[in-house]
Amino acid sequence: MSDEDLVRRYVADRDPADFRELVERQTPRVLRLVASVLGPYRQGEVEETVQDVFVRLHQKIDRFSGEASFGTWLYRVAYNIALDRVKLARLRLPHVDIASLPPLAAHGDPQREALDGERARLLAEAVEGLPPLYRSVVYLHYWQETPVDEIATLIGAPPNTIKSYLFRARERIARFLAEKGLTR
Amino acid sequence: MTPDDLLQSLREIPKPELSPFFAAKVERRASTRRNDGGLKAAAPWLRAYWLVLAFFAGGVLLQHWTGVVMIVCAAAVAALTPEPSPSR
Repeated sequence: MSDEDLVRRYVADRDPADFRELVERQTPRVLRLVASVLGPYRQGEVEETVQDVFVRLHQKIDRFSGEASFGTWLYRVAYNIALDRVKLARLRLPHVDIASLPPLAAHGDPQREALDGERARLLAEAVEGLPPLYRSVVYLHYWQETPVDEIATLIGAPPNTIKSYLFRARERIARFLAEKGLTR
Repeated sequence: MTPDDLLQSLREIPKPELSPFFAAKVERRASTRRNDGGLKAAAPWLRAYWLVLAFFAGGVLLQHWTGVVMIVCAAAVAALTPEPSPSR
């Protein structure tokens, strides 16, 4: 049964098992999307935000018209809820705590580890400084290891547009890192 | 080292996982919201009920000084009790 049919059946019968089935089907993708919008340095907020998405779904499910696919509709809701949380967090605490960034793999060589730590810090600063859409696409692709086609579904844009977002994001990151003397 | 090489290192950061019984937790939160909605719908009727009751009870209590004292005590308790924090 498709998601759209399941939604229609839930709206008609209000069987909690149908809603639970929808949640279980969509959780992996919503989790990836929400995590990529919040970023790896706000992982403590991910579960609550994913819960917020499904609670909102439960409240607004009657409004699903079926014009777009259910996934497209749900991912837009998820993206907006996660983005609102990021904006709120930035109002409260404008800067990401760069010191909390996880170091790259340890080598046992203190000089090399210090260099890796500096690279990780600058990379985090570069990615966190990107516009929200670029940042989410970068995290989806590189951190969540999501294929471009699936990113396109989650973001609601054609795959070529996602590739162009990735290209432009890499350009901005390269410029930032070159200014800091980290790359050529 | 290119930006792409650096970005590849992001995959070493652990990915978030949800707690067990996540779907059940969502269902519980969603049903709590539904109950809140029921309470909100009933609130105007409850207010009208308490208003009518307070009107008649006040009329009876104001006929004797002990009733006046009771009203003053109830008003003081209501004024001094902190409001509950808004639920999520």
